[in-house]
Amino acid sequence: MRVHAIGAVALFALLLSPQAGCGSTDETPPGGSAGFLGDTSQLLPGRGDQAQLIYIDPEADFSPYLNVIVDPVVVWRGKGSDFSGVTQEELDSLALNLESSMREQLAHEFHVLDESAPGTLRLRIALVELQRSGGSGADVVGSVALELEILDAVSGRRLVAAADSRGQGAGGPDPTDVRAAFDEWAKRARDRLATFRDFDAAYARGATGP
Amino acid sequence: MRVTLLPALLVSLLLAEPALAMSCRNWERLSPQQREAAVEQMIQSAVSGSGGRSYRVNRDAIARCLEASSRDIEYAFDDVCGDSRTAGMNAIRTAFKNFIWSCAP
Repeated sequence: MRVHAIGAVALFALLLSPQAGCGSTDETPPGGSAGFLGDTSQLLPGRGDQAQLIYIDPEADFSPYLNVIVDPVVVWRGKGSDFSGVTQEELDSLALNLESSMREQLAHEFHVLDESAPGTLRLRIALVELQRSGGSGADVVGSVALELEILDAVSGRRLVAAADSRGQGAGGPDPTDVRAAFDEWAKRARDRLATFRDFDAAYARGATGP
Repeated sequence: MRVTLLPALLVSLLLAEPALAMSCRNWERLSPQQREAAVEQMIQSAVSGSGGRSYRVNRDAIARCLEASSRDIEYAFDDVCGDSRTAGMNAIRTAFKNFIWSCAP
């Protein structure tokens, strides 16, 4: 399957439709227009069946980044955000849980700092949607969506921006264990950033010779 | 048989420049076999894990996914290099990172 960039019109349609592009998967683009990421014109759908939205700075070199700062996770009530059936207290607790998962997983590959320093990534994360489906468990929700931005902590330059969601299958909302989804996202963030760093380090070595 | 099984020396000899520093101009000059070798070299570099602090990252799974996507990766390189708006110096590197992003298990 070839990878194609799609136009702004199609991207906007994808953002507006919770069912679009998800096929049999449970990954759909969340409300990238919720506003947390600011300019979303750079974001394009992920490849294959994954309908996540992603931007990676073409000039970014991840090899120097050994540290990470995880900002407090924000509950973002922007355009299109939906937190039906979830109290503010629950949202605050879940935001803390997501932040904790990110710190825990990233600590396996990066030094987790509280203040910026050279060679530090800064993660900004927002919950932009969380809908309860009436599931039996307290952590079971119908859908959850987040937006993520990764910056150079010193310069503030955007290195990565992404939007992702869980629990909006083609047949309607599926029960999703929100804490399991948070752990999965945190592990993916760790693996992706560590692999970017390793790849760019190898690139630097390859570009300059042995 | 994929180039995975060829000795690293042969792969290097096939390529006029390190695959990791591949420009669109040189990508378009490669033969199909050389393109396959270049993608393989990128995959191995991405999962070498030399900079990692731990073994939590499932590099085997990422490698398997990238290997399974190697033909798509070649197509993606063709696409970005064939479009003057995206065929910058880091076009191939960025296109490859998109596959890394989607292959994280």
